[in-house]
Amino acid sequence: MQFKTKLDAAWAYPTKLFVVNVSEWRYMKPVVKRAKCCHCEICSLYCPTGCIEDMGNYFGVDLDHCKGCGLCAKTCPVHAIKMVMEV
Amino acid sequence: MNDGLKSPSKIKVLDGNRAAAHAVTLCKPDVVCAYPITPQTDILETLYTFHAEGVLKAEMVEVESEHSAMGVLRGAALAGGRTFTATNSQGLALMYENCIYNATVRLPVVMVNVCREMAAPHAVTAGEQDIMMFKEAGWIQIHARSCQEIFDSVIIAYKLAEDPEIRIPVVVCYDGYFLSHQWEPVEIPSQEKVDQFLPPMKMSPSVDPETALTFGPFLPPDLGTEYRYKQCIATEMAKTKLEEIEKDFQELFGRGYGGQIEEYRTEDADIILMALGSCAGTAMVAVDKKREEGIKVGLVRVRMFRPFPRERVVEALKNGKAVGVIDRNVCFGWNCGNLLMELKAALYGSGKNVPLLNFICGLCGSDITIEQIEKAIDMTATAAKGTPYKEVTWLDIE
Repeated sequence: MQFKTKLDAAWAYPTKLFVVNVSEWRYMKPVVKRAKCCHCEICSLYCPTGCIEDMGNYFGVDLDHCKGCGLCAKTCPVHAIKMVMEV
Repeated sequence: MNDGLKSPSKIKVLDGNRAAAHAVTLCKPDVVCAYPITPQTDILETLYTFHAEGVLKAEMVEVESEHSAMGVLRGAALAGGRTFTATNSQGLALMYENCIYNATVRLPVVMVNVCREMAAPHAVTAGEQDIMMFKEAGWIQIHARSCQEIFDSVIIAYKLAEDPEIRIPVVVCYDGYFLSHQWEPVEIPSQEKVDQFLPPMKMSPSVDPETALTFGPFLPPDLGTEYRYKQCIATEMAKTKLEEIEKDFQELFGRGYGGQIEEYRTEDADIILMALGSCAGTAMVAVDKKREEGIKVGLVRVRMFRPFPRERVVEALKNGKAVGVIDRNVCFGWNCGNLLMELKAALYGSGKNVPLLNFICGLCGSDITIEQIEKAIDMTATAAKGTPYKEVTWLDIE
C-alpha cells in the first residue's frame, strides 16, 4: 500500500498545511494601486485570512490564500484597493 | 483509603467504581477531567480523595459538561499527557462529538463508561443502550464482568491505547449498579509492578510551543481517505494486540480473561450462549445447572466489542448447533438486540448457518435471573433440534 503521508492521523505542521488551494473559489480579486497605498496597514488588520503582505512601502495580497471577500477594498481609507473580476 | 496503593499486592473489598479509581491512580494519569453522573460518581469521588491525600498527582480539571471534559482531554493528550475520564448515558451522548474527534485524531484517551439506560424513561439504572450508541465512535470497547476485571482492564486499556501502532482511545465498560455498586474482593498490585507493565506515555510527534502543529485540519479527500484507511487497519490490529498485552499482563499479574472473548465450557458444547458484561456471571451458574441436567451448553462472553472479535467468535461457535444471544439493549430499526446483529455479521461467510435466538432482558435496571437464562438455554436447545423458533424473545414480557 502506497501512502502519501507518514502521519497516522490528520496532524500537520502549519507551514505544510496548505494542501488545499483555498483561492479556487474566489471570483473577484483585490488589486492594489501601489502609488496610492499609504501603508496604513488597515487592510491587513481587517483581512480575515491574513493574506495581506507588507511589501516595504505598500501592502500586497497573497493570491494563493485570498478568497476575494473584498474587506480590504472596503476598509482602505485612500481607496487604493479595487476588486476586479477573475478571468 | 490509600494504603493499598503503597504496600505490595493486597486484597481490598471494593465496588466497581472504586476498583476503576484505584487502577487509574496506579496508572499515574497526568490529567483527569470528568463530569459526575450517576452511577459513575464514585469514581470521581475516589479520585478526588486520592488527589487530596497526595496519592494521585494528576491535574484535576473541573468542567461544566462532559463535552468539555473530552475536549480538555484532547489538549492534554496532544501535549503528551496520560488522561482519564468517566461518564455514561446522557453524558456520553453529550460527549459524543469530541469522542469521535479524539478517536480520529488518534489520541490514547482512556474512559470508563458505567453502562446506564438512555432516557426516556429517565432510568438511572443499568442497561447497555448508551454504549451501543457508541459503537461507531471509532473507540476500542472492552466490557468487564467483575470488579477485578474492571481493575485489570483499565491498566490493559492504557497499554493498548498508548501502543504506537494502535493509538486509539479505549473505553472500559461495565454495568451500572450490578458492578459499579457491587462490592467484591479486588487484588491491588504494587505501584512498582504497574510501573513495570505500563511505562510512561510517549507521544510522537511531540507538541511544544516551539513547533506549532495543527490537529484535524481541512484536508483534501485523498488524504482524508488515507487517514480513515489507516485507522481501520489500526483498529483491526487492536484485536491481536489485546491478546498480546493480556499475555504479558497474565505473566506479570497472574490473571487473564481470554483476550477478545471469554469462553466457558464451550469445548464440547452444542448450545452456545453469548452475552456481554455482568450477566455472564449469572449465565455461568445457569450453564453449570443445565450441564448437570445433561444439556451440553457453553458460554461465550464478548469482552472486546469494538473491534468485534469476528475470528475468535466464529472459532468458538464452530461446533455449536444453536446460539442464544442475551442482549441488555435493543437495536432500533432491526427489532432485536445489538449483539445479535454483530453475531450475524460475524457469521456471514463462515459457512455457519445455525438458529440464532435473541433474548432481550435486563432493560432499565431489571435483573437478569438464573431462571431467565435457563429458559433461554431451553429455548435454544429446542431450536437446535430443528423445531421452528422465534428469533427475538423479550424474556421479561413474553
